[in-house]
Amino acid sequence: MTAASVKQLDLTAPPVVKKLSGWSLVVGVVFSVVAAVIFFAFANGRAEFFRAYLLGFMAWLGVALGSMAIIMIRHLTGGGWGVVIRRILGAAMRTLPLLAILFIPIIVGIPRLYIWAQPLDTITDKHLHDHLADITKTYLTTNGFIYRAIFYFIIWNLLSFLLSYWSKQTDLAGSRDNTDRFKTVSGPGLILYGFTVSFAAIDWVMSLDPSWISTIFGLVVLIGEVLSAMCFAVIIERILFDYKPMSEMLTPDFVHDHGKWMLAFTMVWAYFNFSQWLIIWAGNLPAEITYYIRRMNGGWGYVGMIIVIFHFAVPFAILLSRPFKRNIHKLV
Amino acid sequence: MRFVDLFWIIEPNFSKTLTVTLADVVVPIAIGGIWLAYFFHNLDALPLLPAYDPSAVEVLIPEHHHGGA
Repeated sequence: MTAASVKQLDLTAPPVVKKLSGWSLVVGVVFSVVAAVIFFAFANGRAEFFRAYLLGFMAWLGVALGSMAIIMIRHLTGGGWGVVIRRILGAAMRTLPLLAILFIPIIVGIPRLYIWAQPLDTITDKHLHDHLADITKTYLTTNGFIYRAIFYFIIWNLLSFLLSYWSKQTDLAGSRDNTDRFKTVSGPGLILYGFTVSFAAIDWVMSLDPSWISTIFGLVVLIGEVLSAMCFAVIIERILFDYKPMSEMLTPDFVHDHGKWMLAFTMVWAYFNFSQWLIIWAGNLPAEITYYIRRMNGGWGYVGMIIVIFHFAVPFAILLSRPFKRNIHKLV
Repeated sequence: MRFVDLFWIIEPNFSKTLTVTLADVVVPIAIGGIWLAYFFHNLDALPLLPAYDPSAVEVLIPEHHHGGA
C-alpha cells in the first residue's frame, strides 16, 4: 500500500464514535448509581447484585474475548472480510484490561455466589457435602479461583497486547510486514484461548453448581462468545456505515462474509448445545440430568424455548438467505 | 439473545422458579455502558483500517478494480 493511495481516504473514525463513547459513559454511570442503590438499600440487594453482576460480566467479557478469537482466526485465514472489521474487533479486544478490573467485584462476591466457598458445615445436602469435602481441598478453593483468574487475564491481555501493538505499527508508512508475526501468535493463541476460556467457564459459571459436570460446557461458552462478538461487530459496522470511511470500505461481499460467519457460528452454537443436551438426557445420570430438569421446570422451560427459537431457529432460517446476508441494513 | 442464553445458564442456580430482578436488568446495563464507553474510546483512538498492512489492499483496492482501465 502506497502513501498516495491511502491519502485518498480519511481512515479516522467519524465524530459519532466520540459521541457514542460519551453517551455510553453517561448510561454506565447512571445505571451504576441505580445498581449501588439496589446493593445498599434493597433487602436482598447484595445477593441479587452479585448474581446480576456475574451475568453482565460474562456477557461483555464474551464480546471482548470473542473479538480476539475472530482476529486470530482472521490472521490465520486471511481475507478482506476481517480487515474491514479488524479495528472494531481490536477496540473490543483492547477492553480486556478494563474487564480485569471489573472482575474484582466477582472476587468480592465469591462467598455469596459460590456454594463451594461457604463453610462445609452449613451445607445440609449430604451428597453435595461429601462432594465438596473432596473438591474444595483440591481445585475449588478461593485462592485457586483467584490465582487462576489472574492467570487467564494475563494470557488474554498478553495476546491482546501483542496483536494490538503490531497492528498499530501498520498505521505508519514504511512499517514492516507483521503478517508472519500475527500468524505465529494466532495459532498458539487460539489454542490458549480455547483452554483458558474453558477453565474460566468451569470456574466462574459451572462451579455455581459444583455437583454438575459437562465436558463440552467450555465449548458452549466459547462459541457463544464468538457468535456474540461477530454480531456486535456487525452492529458497529452498521452504525459506522452511515459515515465515511466505512461507507466506502464496506462492500456487499464483505457483509456477505460476515453473514456467513454468523450463520456458521449460529449452527456451531446449536450443535454444541444440542450435543450437551443429548448426551446428558440420554445418559440420564442423577449428577448431570438435574441441570436440565431445573431449566425445564419452574418457568425456566419457557426461557429455554425462547432461546431455541430466537437464538437458533429464526436466525438460522433468516441467515440462509443470500440477499439478506449481503444487505447490512437487514443483517444487523 | 446471548444475554438471555447466559441468564438461562446462570440464574437457575439461584432460583428454582423463573425470577427476573431489577438488578438483572440494571447491573448488566451498568457494566455495558462503562464497557461501551471504553470500546468507543478505543475505536476512536486508531484509524478504522491498518493502512500500511499488506491486507489493507483487499479493502482499499477492491478485487474488481484489479486489471481494470
